[in-house]
Amino acid sequence: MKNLALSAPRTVIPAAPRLRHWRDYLLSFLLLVILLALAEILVDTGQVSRLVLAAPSDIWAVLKDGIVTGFYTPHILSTVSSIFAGFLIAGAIAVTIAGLLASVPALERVLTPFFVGFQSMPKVAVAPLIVIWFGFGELSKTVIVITTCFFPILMNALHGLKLRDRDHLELMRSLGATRMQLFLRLRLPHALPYIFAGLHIGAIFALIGTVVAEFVGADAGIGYLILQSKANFDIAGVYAGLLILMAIGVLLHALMKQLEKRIAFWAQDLSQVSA
Amino acid sequence: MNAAAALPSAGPPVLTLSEVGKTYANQPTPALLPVTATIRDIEFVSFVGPSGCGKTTLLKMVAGLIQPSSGAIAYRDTGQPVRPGHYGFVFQNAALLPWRTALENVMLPAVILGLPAAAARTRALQLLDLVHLGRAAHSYPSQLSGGMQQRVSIARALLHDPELLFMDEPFGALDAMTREQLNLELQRISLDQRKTVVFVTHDIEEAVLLSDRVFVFSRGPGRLVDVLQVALPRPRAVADRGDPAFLTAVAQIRSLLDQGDVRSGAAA
Repeated sequence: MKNLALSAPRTVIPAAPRLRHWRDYLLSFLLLVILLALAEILVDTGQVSRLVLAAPSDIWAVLKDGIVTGFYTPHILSTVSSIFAGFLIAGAIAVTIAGLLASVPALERVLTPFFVGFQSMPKVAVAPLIVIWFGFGELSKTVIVITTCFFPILMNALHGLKLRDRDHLELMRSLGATRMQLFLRLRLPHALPYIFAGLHIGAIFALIGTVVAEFVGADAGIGYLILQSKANFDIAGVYAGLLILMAIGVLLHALMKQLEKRIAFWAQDLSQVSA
Repeated sequence: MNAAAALPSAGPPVLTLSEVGKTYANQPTPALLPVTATIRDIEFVSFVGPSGCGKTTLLKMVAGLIQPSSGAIAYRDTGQPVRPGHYGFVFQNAALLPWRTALENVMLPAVILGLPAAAARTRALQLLDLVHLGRAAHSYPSQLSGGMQQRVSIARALLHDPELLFMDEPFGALDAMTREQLNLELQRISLDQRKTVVFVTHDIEEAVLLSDRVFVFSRGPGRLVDVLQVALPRPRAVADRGDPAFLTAVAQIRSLLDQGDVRSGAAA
């Protein structure tokens, strides 16, 4: 639990309040409408410069136009595919290494200082270096995503592979379980909720990593598009990009939550901790 | 000290303990002074004593889960300890795997020992019926009460039909009523299936109700004080708790435990 909290990002996803009534939904919606109307009025009357805030109607127009004409399609695909490629590669490597480290405790002891060091460093700061190594484009993007989401997945998997319940271990020994049976029947299933909590955090990190990668060295993607819009003083375009990223983030979170619920169904409280 | 009272008119020894003791490397006093004893076929034996008296340590040494630091344990005439997979072990906290249903938990020994799955499934369902949990076969442990979980773990310990059943305070965490119910069920099952049972508890009445013989332990350092025969035929009923023989046995054990405590208090 402690480790989970350590590796958890500051992206706090609020737990669903008890019994959300239809009135609460209505009030949330009303608040949104009021805020949008306020923004619209402030921009229309010139109280706030169009270079600071875009009118919601303008943002909507840009967003709709971009979606209808298919202008956003390649960029969304680029961002999403980079998230998934980096995330899946990082997940596979991290879980494999965690399995290895869990079976060779000496190796874990030697490598732990390195992990702590790397974990404490903001991984996005490595992005410029990675662009120097791998050049502009998709490869750099994927590598940056891998570095950002690798450690939370690794640390959670490592944590989960450590058994705390002595009875379970003795139960397996009382039946004469082999090392392989111990791993497949006890350690791995025991670690699954932790691994999925790590993957959940990792997915959110992958989104951050992708956007950073698109800022520092890419020629496509929503992050790249936001930079382009900024350079053209297309403030509505910047806000539209942000909205698309928000939508991707919400979908990622929902997807991971569903996966956790299905695969690690017996420990749903764990994802609450990590998320 | 080790009153290894040989039981008259009982079967051949299943387990022979010779001078079995345990001292942990990082502790000055022994966890258990050497114990010599015999446990016989289809016998129900209880280890009773306060916490820290070494009763659980001895049980786990007999099961081969802890290495004794002195002495030897022999299963029948093999001269070897009982092998893993040849006994069932019931833990205090059920120790069910939360990702497996009750049925899948009961089938675990078959998975580990490589027994045929179809036969194991049939037997697991029968065992769940035996512990009155037929309806809960497909429930997960988190959906079961503490008593139900412990029933599942008893069924699991029986799946591979071991002749020995080792139980480490299996009902210690349960309320008194559930406990009494499970005591009677355990008695019925152990007699029906002709199991040899070694049962660890700190509840004197529970030990007397269930056992042929009660091993009384004391602490500081942990040691076997005496072995008592309960002079009541099994199976026993709840009403036997009022029987003079029952009350005598309880009183005897209690006085042995008190003496042990006084002695260890003087030593400390």
